[in-house]
Amino acid sequence: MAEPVLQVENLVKRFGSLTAVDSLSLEVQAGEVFGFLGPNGAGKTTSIRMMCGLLKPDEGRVLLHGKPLLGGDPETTSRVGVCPQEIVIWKKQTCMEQLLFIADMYGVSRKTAKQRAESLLEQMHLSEKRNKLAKTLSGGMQRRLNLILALVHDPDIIVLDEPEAGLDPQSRVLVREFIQDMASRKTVILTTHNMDEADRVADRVAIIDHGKLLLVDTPEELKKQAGTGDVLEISLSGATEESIAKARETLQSFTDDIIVHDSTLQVRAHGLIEKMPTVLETLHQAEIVPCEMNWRPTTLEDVFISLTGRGLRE
Amino acid sequence: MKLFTVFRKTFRERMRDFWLALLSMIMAPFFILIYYLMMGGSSFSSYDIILLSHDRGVTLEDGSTFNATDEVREVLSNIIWADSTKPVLSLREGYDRERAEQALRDRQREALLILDEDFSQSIYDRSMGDSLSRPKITLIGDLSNPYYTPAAVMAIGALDSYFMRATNTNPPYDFEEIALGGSASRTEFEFYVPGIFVAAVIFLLYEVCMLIAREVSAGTMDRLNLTRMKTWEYLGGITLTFIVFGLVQVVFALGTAIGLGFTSEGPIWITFLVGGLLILPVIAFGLITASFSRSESEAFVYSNFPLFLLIFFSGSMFPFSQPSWFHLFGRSFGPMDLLPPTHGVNALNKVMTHGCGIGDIWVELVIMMVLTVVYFAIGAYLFQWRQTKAR
Repeated sequence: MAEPVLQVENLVKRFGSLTAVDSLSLEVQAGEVFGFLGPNGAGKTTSIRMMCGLLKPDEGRVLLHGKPLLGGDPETTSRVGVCPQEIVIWKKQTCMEQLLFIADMYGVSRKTAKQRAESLLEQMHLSEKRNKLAKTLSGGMQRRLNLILALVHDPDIIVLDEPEAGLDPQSRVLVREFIQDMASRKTVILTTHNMDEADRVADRVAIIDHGKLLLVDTPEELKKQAGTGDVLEISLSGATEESIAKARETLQSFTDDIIVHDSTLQVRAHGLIEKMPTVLETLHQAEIVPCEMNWRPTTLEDVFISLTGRGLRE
Repeated sequence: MKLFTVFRKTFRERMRDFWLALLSMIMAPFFILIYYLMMGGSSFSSYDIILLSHDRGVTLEDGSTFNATDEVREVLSNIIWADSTKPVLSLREGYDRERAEQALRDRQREALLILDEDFSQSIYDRSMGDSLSRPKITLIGDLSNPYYTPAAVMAIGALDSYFMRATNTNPPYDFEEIALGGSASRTEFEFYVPGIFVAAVIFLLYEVCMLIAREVSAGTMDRLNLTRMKTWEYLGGITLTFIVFGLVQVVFALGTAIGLGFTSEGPIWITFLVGGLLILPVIAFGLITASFSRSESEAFVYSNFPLFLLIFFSGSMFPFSQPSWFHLFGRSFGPMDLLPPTHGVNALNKVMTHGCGIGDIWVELVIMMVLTVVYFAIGAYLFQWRQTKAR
């Protein structure tokens, strides 16, 4: 197993009577993409701010490459790049000016900074805007600039807080591909509400709610452990009520989780895809002929909802 | 009625900006309290007059002596404020003329009263019927000092009464008023230029505070806090920027004044130097204020506090008399001396109005520098604590 680059030990952060983060412990390994999921107000951003040293925990500590983050060596802490959820740019600086400025603040030589800035602008399709004031860029462009400002010093660990928020579909694809490319070379910590994105890119995913870590594992393992199973929808259009009741009774040999909407049965169970031939055979023997069948595997969103509930937050 | 709906909505919003609302409400009582404390409570202030007597006195035929200076001293000291035992004039002695004029230039004293060698003799002769005998008094003061006029009026009024009583004649004396430095030739416009000049520099405080607050509210301060940038590097960069802008402002302000007919009695480069040095403590006050500001609107409201202090209580725009806390290097120090612009205004007055050189204002410059270092240290500490460290 790779060495942990980031160790979070029993982090606690309180704001008055609210405990925003409650005994959070986790490790992020070198070179992995670590997804950090949770509903609004779950404590994701507070945790991220403590992990990169912007917020002081009330209890616990964060170790970066084995060294304490707070009061630690600036050399170590500057190996983290943070892309905040909000657009944090200097609106009255051009794209190039602010990339060179922030690179200088990280101690990157002018020549290297210029090369990196050009490359990042190119990758984010902002080259033509290099000498434009940031305030004149569109919202999507500003978000892309926001992202590369976190990368110009070539950090080892990149923290991306909702990197796709507010992006149009084209920009979203561009940013997603950029993150995937980056993930092959860097350690990436990603907070997102986009479960598909987390499922697709994250090596491991942590789900937190009410400041507590609920689960942390690979997306596949999470789906196995906490998922409610695959969903099979069987449409019995035109069937009589007796036939539908009979179909339901027949399918109860596989699972009790069956919901009937009009003439459609929604069956939920783990490993349904493997059981599909048996299901079809059983239905056939019961002389039930489905008009249409849809199958979808359990998703990270199902896991997320099952762990955090359906209640609206914030 | 929509008017009341708008009122309710606006009132609610205002109350939800609790700190801003509170600060706006306490600003006036706060400055009244500060003014009360700076004035030394409810006590009356006195006008400081230096008495420099060359009077030899008179030996009378019966061998006794007559010294009119003693009587003048008593008369001047006995003028008291109505409903009080506090003297209107505070007599200071033990000065030679050079030191006395220096004290006037420093605005440590309001006027210098000189009695000549034959002062007692003249009064005695006149009281004996010699109508040609005329005692001579000289009053020296800085006409640009707003406290000179009331001090002079009070002193001359008291002396007038004394001479009439002592000699039983009218008018009994020769009075000469000497304006200190170039103060007599200054126009009303020129009197106020040093103060306006200092006030203009003080207004930089808004810009410093709002610029930093913008960095905080936009989140870019957090971005910078993640880098290897040190607090002193950030503050140094900000300071340098505002020194440049401040110096340009100083050049424009002085250029405009000169273009409108203002003349400086002293070297103009010293004026620039004082203006330039004054920028530093203003930036320091801006840092202190910015340490508590999380947004530009907060910065604007918070800035009013130091701004009012610096403008109203430094004597840059309005005359202000302060109680004395202690004496050092022959000068008295009070609460106003804690404000660097107080010394900036004094230095500029000396240079612009009295034609003083660098050797005459070094005390002001040193005090300004010391205060600047102190305020910068406070500002840097607060800024690091409030805005750059993880909390």
